[in-house]
Amino acid sequence: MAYLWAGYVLTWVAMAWFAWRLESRARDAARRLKKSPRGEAETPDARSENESVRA
Amino acid sequence: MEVWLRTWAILWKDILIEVRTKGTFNAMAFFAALILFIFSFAIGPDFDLLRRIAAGLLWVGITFTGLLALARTYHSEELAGGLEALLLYPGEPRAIFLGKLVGNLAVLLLVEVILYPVAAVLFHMDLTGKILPVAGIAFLGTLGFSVIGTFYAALTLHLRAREVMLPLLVLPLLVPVLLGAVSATAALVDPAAAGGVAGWVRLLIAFDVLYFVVCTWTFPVLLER
Amino acid sequence: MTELTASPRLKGWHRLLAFLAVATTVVGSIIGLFVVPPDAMQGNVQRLMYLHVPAAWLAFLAFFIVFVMAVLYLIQRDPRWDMIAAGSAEIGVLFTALTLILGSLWGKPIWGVWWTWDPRLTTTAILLVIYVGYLAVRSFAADPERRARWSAVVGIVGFADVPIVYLSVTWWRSLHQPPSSPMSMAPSMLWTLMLNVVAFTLLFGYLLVRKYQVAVAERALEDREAMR
Repeated sequence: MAYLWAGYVLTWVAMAWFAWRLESRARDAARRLKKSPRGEAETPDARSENESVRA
Repeated sequence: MEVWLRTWAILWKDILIEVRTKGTFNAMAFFAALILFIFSFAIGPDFDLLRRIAAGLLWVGITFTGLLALARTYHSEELAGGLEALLLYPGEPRAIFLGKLVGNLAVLLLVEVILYPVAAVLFHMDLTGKILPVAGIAFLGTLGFSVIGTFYAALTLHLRAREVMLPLLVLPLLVPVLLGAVSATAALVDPAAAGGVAGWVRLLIAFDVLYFVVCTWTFPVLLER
Repeated sequence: MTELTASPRLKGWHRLLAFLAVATTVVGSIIGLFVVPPDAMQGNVQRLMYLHVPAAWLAFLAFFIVFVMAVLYLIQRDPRWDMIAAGSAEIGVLFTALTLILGSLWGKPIWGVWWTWDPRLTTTAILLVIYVGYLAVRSFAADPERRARWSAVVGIVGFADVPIVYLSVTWWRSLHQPPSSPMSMAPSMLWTLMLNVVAFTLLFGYLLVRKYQVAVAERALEDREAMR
């Protein structure tokens, strides 16, 4: 029985941990997106320039 | 035709560099023999045990030495942007892959020419009368090894921590090659070993052909700027 | 360049998926643990199968999606395919690790050992290493375009290896022991298994959608910060 419960609990914990980490990253990204308003970075020109700088 | 000329040019360039700089081949061959020697110490002088696992030990030695050789595949191009210069020439970039592949294959086969007799002596492998089939299996295994290795050496070229990344990526993919080469060699050399050779040879050929096609085809993707 | 802001159509999906996934997982676990009768031969430990088999199925599904997305990326060079591939690979590694651990927990009381060189077990372990390598390539490549290109190649070459690995490991082992045959199952067990497969697939769908949304948002942020 110990093996059985270890397996189920481990699966639940792993899933919950993965989902929780993902959700907190999503919240974080959404918050930062809101904080920095859509600006010049969204225009195609600036974006392609940005790409070329990085490459 | 033009691809083969380019392949030959790349290969000849590397041979010249290797010969003129009194390159690393000797050290590599010595290292390979040393690995086999160390194995004998680690496992002990048990006659039958050594003979039974000889093929496996031999291929572990080849794998380690091979990883050393693969890591150096594009060494001469790394200095002063040589790879970029090579890519500036018009024509087929796949020739770079083919040239480097033949180079790695040749180096590893030369190492094996030294390694097999050493293993035969140290591990009491009986090669008499079986040299040709054993060499054939060694060639097929080394070809698969070189195809995957030459390909991934190019992929890890600009990666951080590439000394670790090359074996990390290459070794799992090579499991079929190692299993095939070790099992077929063991079946030939050790009369006590069970199992046929033909199935493993077919597997090795299938692996070599599949990856030769896949890697040659996708190689230009790796070198895009 | 494709517009990378989160498309509004996807916004609500993940909530519904998350709800369905949690609901089916809870129901599936309760039925698997308490409702279905235990296996006549293996006893209660056999109930691990209701998690082990769905996890294994999802691992393979996830890596198949990585392969398809990698091919699509190399053809169309659309960064969205790369984001889906990355998310799928990460979830796939999670499920593969779970599959191996659950298999070990099952194997210990039944076979008496944590690990055997069973072909399926060995192939799954090699699969895990291949895709850990995939994730390592992603984390070691700084430039997004190169990261996408290189990892796509790793995803394709790695996936092509899976059938050969399975074949070779099966031959290797068949010299020593016959492969275990799949047992016939009672209908109630089959239904429980199916329910859990659905639950895990919903969970996978939710995680993948969410991963994709996060990747899109983080990419937009990255681009913005690079402008400053």
